[in-house]
Amino acid sequence: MKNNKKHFVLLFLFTFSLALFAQQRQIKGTVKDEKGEAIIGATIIVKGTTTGTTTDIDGNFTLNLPAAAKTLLVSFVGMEKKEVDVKNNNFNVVLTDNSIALNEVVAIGYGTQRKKDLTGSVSSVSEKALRDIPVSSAAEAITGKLPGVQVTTTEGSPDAQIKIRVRGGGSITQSNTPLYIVDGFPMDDISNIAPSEIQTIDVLKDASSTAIYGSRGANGVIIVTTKAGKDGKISISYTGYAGFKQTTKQLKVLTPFQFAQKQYEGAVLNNSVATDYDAYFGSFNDMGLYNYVNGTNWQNEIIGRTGNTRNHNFTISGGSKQVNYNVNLNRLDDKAIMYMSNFNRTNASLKLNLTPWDWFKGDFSARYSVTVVNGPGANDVSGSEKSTSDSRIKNAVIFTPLPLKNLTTQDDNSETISNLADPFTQMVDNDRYQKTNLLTLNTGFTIKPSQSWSFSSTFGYSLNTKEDDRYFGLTTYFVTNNSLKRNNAIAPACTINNTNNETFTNANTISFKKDNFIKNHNISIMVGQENLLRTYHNILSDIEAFPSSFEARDTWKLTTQGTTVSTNNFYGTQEKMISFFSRLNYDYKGIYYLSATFREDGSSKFGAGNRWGEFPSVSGAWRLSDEGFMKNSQKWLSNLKLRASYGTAGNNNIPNGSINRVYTSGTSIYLPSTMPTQVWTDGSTLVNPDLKWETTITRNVGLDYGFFNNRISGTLDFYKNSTKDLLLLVPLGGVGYTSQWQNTGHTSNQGGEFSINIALIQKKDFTLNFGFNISINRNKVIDMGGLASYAGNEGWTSMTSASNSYLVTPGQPVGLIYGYVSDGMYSADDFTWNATSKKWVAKTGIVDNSSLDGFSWGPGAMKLKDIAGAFDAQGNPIPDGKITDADRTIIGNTNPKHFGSFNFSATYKGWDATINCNWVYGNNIYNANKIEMTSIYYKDRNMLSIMNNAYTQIDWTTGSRVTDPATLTAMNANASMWSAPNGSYAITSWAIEDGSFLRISNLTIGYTLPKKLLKILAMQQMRFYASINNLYTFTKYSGYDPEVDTRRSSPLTPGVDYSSYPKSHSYNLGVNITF
Amino acid sequence: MKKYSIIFLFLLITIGTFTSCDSSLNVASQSSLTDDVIYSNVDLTEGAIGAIYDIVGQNNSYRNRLWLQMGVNTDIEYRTGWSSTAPLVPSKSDDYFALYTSTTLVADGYNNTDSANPWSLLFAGIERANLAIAGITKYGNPTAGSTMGHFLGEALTMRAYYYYDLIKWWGDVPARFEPVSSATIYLAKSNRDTIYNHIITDLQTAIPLLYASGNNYTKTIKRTSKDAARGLLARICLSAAGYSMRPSGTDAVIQITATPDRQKELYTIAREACRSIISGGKYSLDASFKNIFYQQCQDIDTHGREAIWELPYNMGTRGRMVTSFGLPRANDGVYITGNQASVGGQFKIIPSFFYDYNPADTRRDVTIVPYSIARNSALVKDSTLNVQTLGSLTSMNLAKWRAEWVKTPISSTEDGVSPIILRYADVLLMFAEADLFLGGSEGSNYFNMVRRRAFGQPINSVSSYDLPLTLDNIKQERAFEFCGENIRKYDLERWGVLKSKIDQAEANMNDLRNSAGNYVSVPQTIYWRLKVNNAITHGERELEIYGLNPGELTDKTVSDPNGGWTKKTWISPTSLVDGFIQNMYLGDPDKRQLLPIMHQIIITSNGTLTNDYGYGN
Repeated sequence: MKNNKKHFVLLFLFTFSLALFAQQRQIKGTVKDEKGEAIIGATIIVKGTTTGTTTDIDGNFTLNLPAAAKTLLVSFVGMEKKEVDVKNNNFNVVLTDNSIALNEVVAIGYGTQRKKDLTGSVSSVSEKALRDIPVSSAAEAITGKLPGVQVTTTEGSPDAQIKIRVRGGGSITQSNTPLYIVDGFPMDDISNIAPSEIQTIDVLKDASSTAIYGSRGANGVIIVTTKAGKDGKISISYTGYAGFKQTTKQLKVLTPFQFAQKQYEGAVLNNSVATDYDAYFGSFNDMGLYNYVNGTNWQNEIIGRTGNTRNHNFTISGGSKQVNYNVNLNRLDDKAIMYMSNFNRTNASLKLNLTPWDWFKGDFSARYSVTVVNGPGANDVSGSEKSTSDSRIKNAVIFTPLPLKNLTTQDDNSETISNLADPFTQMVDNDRYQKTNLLTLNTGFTIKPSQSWSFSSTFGYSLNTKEDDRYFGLTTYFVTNNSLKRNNAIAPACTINNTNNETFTNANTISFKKDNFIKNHNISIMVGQENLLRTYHNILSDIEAFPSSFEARDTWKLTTQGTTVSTNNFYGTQEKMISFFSRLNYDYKGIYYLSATFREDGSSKFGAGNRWGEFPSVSGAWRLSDEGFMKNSQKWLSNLKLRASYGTAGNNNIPNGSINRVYTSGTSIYLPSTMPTQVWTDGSTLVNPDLKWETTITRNVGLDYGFFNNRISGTLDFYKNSTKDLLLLVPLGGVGYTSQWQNTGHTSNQGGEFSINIALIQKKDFTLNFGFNISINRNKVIDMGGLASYAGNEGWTSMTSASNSYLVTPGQPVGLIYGYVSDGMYSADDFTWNATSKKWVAKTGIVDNSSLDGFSWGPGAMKLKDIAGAFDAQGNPIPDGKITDADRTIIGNTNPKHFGSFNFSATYKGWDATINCNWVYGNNIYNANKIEMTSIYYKDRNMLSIMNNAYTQIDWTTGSRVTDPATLTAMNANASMWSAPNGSYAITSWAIEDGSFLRISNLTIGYTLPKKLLKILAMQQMRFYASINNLYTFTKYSGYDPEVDTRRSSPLTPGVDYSSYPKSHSYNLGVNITF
Repeated sequence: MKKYSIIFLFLLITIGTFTSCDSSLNVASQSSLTDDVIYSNVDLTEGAIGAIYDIVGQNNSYRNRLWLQMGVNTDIEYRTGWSSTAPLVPSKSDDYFALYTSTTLVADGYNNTDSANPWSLLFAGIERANLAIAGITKYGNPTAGSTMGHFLGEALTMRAYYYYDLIKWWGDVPARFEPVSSATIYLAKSNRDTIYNHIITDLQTAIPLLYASGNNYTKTIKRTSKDAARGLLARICLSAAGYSMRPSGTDAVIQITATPDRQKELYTIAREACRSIISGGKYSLDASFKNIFYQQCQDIDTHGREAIWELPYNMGTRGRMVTSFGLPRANDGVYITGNQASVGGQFKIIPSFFYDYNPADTRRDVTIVPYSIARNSALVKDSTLNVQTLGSLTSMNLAKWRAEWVKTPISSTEDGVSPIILRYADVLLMFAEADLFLGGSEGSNYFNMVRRRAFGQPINSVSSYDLPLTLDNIKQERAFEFCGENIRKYDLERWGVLKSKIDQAEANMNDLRNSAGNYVSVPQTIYWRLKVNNAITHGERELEIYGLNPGELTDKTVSDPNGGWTKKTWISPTSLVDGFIQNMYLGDPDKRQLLPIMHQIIITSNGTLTNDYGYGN
C-alpha cells in the first residue's frame, strides 16, 4: 500500500509538470493595503497549485501563469485572504486588515469557534494587544482589557498576587478564582507564563460557555493559548526591554521635632513625662534641638531605591505543511524598589505541530519555568506569617526617625515602647526565598477519518515544585513568643517548605461537523471524556534554636545547627475527577444558532452518592444583520447578533478530605518532653460526609454589534448568576471544631458589561482607534442556611475594636465593613479639669469613649457616634452614653459601583502610540495603616504628618498642660485631627476611604523602521519603543495606592490596606526584531 | 487500510485509559490515619492522648486565660490592673470578670470573637477526649491493668477535668460525651448536675483503669494517675454537693441543688476517694511549706511528694505562672533575662489577710511579702545587685512563686512553671470537710496535720496549734493554706459565701486602717533597713522589717539610732482609702460568679444557646 501511494504521487507530479510546460503567460501586479501602502512579502499563489511568488519592496510581483490557472490566492499575515480571477487582468490587489473580529477564532473548551458563531459570552485579548506593551505577567497584561473581568494587582511587589474575578463571585468563604486552562490543560494560575508566549486569552463568562468545563467553571474560565509555529520560512525574533522603576508615593510622617512633640504630649497626658519622655528624649527645654536633626527617612531606605527590569525574549518559529514549531526563551530580571527584594523568571517552551498526513495531526508542547523571589516582601499573606507585628512597611513608616537613648530594638516591653524593630534588621529578620519550578508537558493527536468526523486525544502532565524558605530573626514575633530557645535565650528559627504538586489529565473527544447537513442546516456535535488526577506532597520542616549569629542563608543551609521541632512529610489526599461531556452546535444559514452542552463530573472530594454532578446549558443566537429583511441596512449595519443563554456550572472548591475523619500527626511544642508530644489530631474542621456539588445557574442576554463596516463594534451583555447549595465554611462556636463545610445558602451576582471599539480615523498614514469598556456587578448574599451573619476578620491587629470588621449578612453583598462612625473630636467644653486627680472629667451627657481613647480621653480626643447599646421600651436600640461594640454599624462597601477601561491607539507612518487607562469607581478601602499610624497606643512610634495638625493640650512655649477650656479652644481653632488615641485601635468611618481611581496604566510610543530599510538589514520587522507603566493615578485615596488588597487569606476581607508594598512607576525602553 | 489501523490503535490506547467507575473516585491520604488504625495501636493511641493535654498550652487556654485570670477577686486575693481610686473603670479586658462585671461585649476579654477562645478550647479538649474514648472502646480492648485501659482512664479523667472547669466558669453547658457529628453540632445547655453525675461516673470508671503513680506512663505528675483522678473526683463531689449560682428567670440565685441524700452520697464518694489516696501512701506533706513551691518552680515533676497532679506546661516555653503570679521582680539579666522586663504581681493580697495569720505560721512569709525586687540606685549603688524594695500596704505581694527559684531563666512571658492542680494537703482537708459533713471522727486529725506542718510541729502528734474541726475553721484554714493557688474563689462559691466573705474582707480592711476589731494590736508603724550582714541571696540585698507582728511597737530609730532604720507609717486611713476597699467588686459577686457565654458562641449556635443570669446575648 505504501508503494501504491508513492506511485500515485509520482504520477500526479508528472502529469502536473507536463501541464506546466504546456502554456504560460507572465503577469504583473501590486499588492497594497487599504491605505495604499505597499505590502512587502505578500504571497501570491495560483489556486490549486504550488506555483507562486511574493511581492517585492514596493509591493510589486511578477508571475508566470499556467494556462490552466483560473484564480490567484493573495495572502499576507494579519490580512484577509483574497481571491483574484485571472480573467479580469487587474492585478492591483488591495488586502484588508482582518483585525475585525468576526472571523477570529476563539477557544471555547475542547475546541474553537468563530467569533461570529458564538452564542455565549466570551471576551478575548489577542496577541496584538499583548505584544507591544512591556508587562511582566499575563494577568497584568489583561488588566482592564476584558469587560466583566476585574483584575486587581493586590500589591506593588514584583511577585504580587493578581486577583482575577469574572463577574463577581458566588462563594462567600472560598476564593472565587476562575479556572485557568493553558493549551487545554488546567492550571492553578497563569503567573509563570511569559506574556510573550501568549497567542490569545479567552475568557468564558456565562454557563453556556463554561458548562463544558462543568465543575470549576462556575467562576468563569480563562483559556490561554500559547503561540504555535506558522507555515512559512523560519522566523527568528527578539523582543526585549529594560527600564527602571521608582515608588509612586511615600507616606508623609512627622519631622523629628514634631515626633518629639507628640511623644511629649502623650507623656503629659499620661502624667508620665519622666519615664516616658525624659528617659528617651531628654528634657523638654532641649526639644528645640530636634529641629536641627534630619532624622532617617526609613521609607527611602526600605522602599525608596530605584529598581530595574530587564526582559529578553527569543522566539524561533517556522514550519512547513508537515511540521510547525515554535521555540521560546524568556528571561525576566527584576530588582524591586524594596530593600533585599528581587525577582527573576526564566521560561522555555517548545511547541510542535505535526501533520504527517492530512488526516492526522499531532501536537506536542513543553513548557518550563523557574521563578525565584528573594526578600521578605511587605507581608507574608499565605504560608508562614506568624504575626502582623512583623509587617515590614509599618516599620519603615513609623519607626523612630532618630536613635533614642534607652530604646533598644529588641526590647519587648510593649506597654512602654514602640514594639517595632529597626527596619533594616526587621527586613533581614524576615528574609524569605521562594523558588517555583513548573514543568508542563502536553501531547495530543487528532485523527480525521473524513471531512466530518474527527477524534482527538490529549495527555497532559504538570509538575509544580515550590521551595519556600522563611527565616525568623530575633525581632520576629514567632521567635520572641513561640519558638525554642538556645541556652535560654531566644534564637533564630526557620521553616523550609517544599511542595510538590503533580497533575495528570487525559481528554478524549469525538466530533462530527457538517455544514449543510440538510440544506442550510449546519451542525456540529462533540462528545468527550476527561480524567484528572492531582497529587500533593509537602515537606515542612520547622527548625529552631539556631546560634544567634545565624542569618537567613545559614539557617537554610546549615539546618543541623538548629533543633528540628518538626518535619512533616505529608502526602495529601489525591484528587480525582472523571467527566463526560457533549456539545451540540446547530445553525440555520448562519442566522439562527442553537447550542447545548451537557457535562457530568464525578469528584473524589465528595462521598459516594454525592459525587456526580450534572451541568446542562443551552444558548441561542440570532444574527439579525444577516436576515433578508435587513438587506437595506447593510450600508451602515455590518453586524448585529442577539444572544441568550441559560445554564449551570458546578464548584467543588473545598479541600480534599473534607468528608472523612482522618488524623494527622504533629509535634506539640506546648507539652513537656515527659509527655507524649507527638500528637494525633483530626483538625479544626469537622468532617461532613454529606457534602455535594455547589451549583451556579447563569443567565445571560447580550448583543454583538458592528456599524459602518465594523468601524464601530462591540458587545453589550446582561447577566444574573445565582449560586445554590453554596459550599460554605460554616463557623462553629465552641463545639470542639472551628468550622464545618456545609452546602448551605444562596448568593447572586447580577450585572452588565458594555464594550465599544471605534476606528476614529482610518487614513493611509494615520489611524486612530478608541476602545472602551465598562462593567457593573452587584453581589448579594441571599441566605446562609440560617446563619444570621458571618464575620470576616481582617486580622491586622488582635484588638477587638478593630477586628472582625467585615460582616456578611443576608440581603447584603460580601465585603461590607462594619465599624464605628467617626464624629470628629471632643471640645474643651465637654470636660472639666479636676486639678487634684489631674484628669479631665466628662460633663454629664458626654459620650464615653474612654476605652478607645485611653488616657487621651479629654478635649481633642477622637469622638465616635453613640448609636446603640441600650434599648427603648419597644426594644429598639438607643444610645447608651458610651462607645461599645454595639455602636458599630456598616461604614463601607468594598465593592465597586463600576469599573472599566479605555484606550487610544494611533499610528502615523512608522510611529505608533498607545495609551491605556483603567478605572474603578465607588468602592471603599479600609485604610488600616492610617489607624495604626495615628495612634499612640505604642509609644515612641512616629506618626503620619496629618497628626501635626492635631489638637493639643500643651503650651509649647512652657511645656505645661493647658487646662483652661477657653484657651484650649482658641489654641486649637485650626486643629484638623484629634489627639493621638492611646486606647485600642478602632475601625472608624474615618479610616474608610473612597477607593475610586483612574489610572493611566500605560503609555507607549513606538517607531517601526520602514520596510525599505529593513530589507537592507535583512529583517522583517524592527520596532523601538518607549513605555511608561503606571504613569499617573487620579485618586482621592490617601494611602500608597488605591488598588490594594492585603488581607487575602480570607475572601471575606477585601480592600484592606495594611502594610502594603507600594506600587511603582516603571519606565522602559524596548525593541522588537524579527528576522 | 493503514490509516484506519492507526486510528484503531490510537482509539484502543486512549480507551484503555478510561476509568469511569465510581469506586475509582475513592481516595485516601497517605499521611493521615483513621480511627481504626490509631486506636488499635498503643503507640499511636498515646499520640491521641497527648492531643488531649495539648489543649492546655494553647493560646487563650490555660496558658494565658483560664488558669491565670479566673480565680479572683476573693476575700484574700485581688487582681491588680485597675486604678485604686473611685470610680473604677476596668481598664483591661481581663478585669471585667475579676470585678464581677462581665459582659457579652467584644471588649470583654473572654468574649473575644477569636475562634481560639477559652470555651472553644475546652470543648476542643473534650472532643479530643471523646474521640479517644470512643476509639479506644471500639478498637483498643481497654482492660484494667492494660496500657489501653490506662489511656482510656486518662481520656475520661481529662474530659472530667475540662468539664469541671467549664462548669466552674460557665455553669450549665452543653453535654457532649460523644464525638461531634453533623447531627449534634447544635446542642442546648444541660443542667450541670447531669454533667456532674456523668463525670463522677466516668471518674469512677477511670480510677480502676488508671495506673498508679510511678508506672512508666505516670512517672511525671503532669499526666493523670489513679490518685489524681481520685483527688479530682473528691473535688468535683464537694462542688456538686455545695452551693452554686443557678439561673432564676433572668436573675441568678445561689443554691444547693443536690438533695440531702445525694449530698450524703457525694460527700461519701469524696471522703472515700481521699481515703484511698491517703491509705495508698504514695504522697505526703512536705515538711517545708516553702519547698512545695520551690520544687514546683524547679520543674520537679516526679511522683511521691506533696504535689499529686500538675498542668503539663513545658518549662521555658508555655504557661505564665511566675510571670503572672510570681513575686514582682525586674529583669536582672540572671533570673529574668532577654526581652522580659519584669515578672509577677497580677495577684496581690488583701492587706488585712496578712494580719489574719498567726505570726508563727510558716505559711505567712512564704505566701505574702510586703516588698518587690528591683534595682534601687538610691539604696544600693552597685548596679549588679537587686534590692528587696518595700511597697505599701496595698501592694502586699504573693510570694509563693519566685523567678529566682525557676529552673531556667525567664526570658519571655512563657516561663513554663506548671501549676499544681492537686496537692496532698488539699486531699487531707477535703477528707476533713467531707468527714465533718458525714459526722465521722477521722477528719479532725487530718485537718490538724495540715496545721501542724504549718507551725513546724510533728504532724502525727497533737500540738498546741490544733483546732477543733468546724466548717468555719476549715474555711479559714483553706485560705491560709491555698492563698494564691486559684482555689479560694471556688471554695467560697461552693460554700455559698463569696459575696459575704468579700464584704467581710472589706470590713476587715476598714478595721485594719482604723485599728479596730481584730486588728487593734497591729502596729501602725514599721521600721526597715537592709540587713546589716549585707545578706545577698539570688543577687538581691535582703530587707529587714520590724513592725509587722503584733507587739512590735518599739521605735527602732530611737532604740537603735545607728542601726540604719527608716521609719514608715504603714497603716493609716490614707494608706487604705475607700476607693480601694470598696472596690473589690463592682457587680454583685453572687450574681456574676459565672461568665456569660461569648457572643460568638451564641451567634453560631443556631439558636440553641442563650445566656442566663440577665447577661443577654
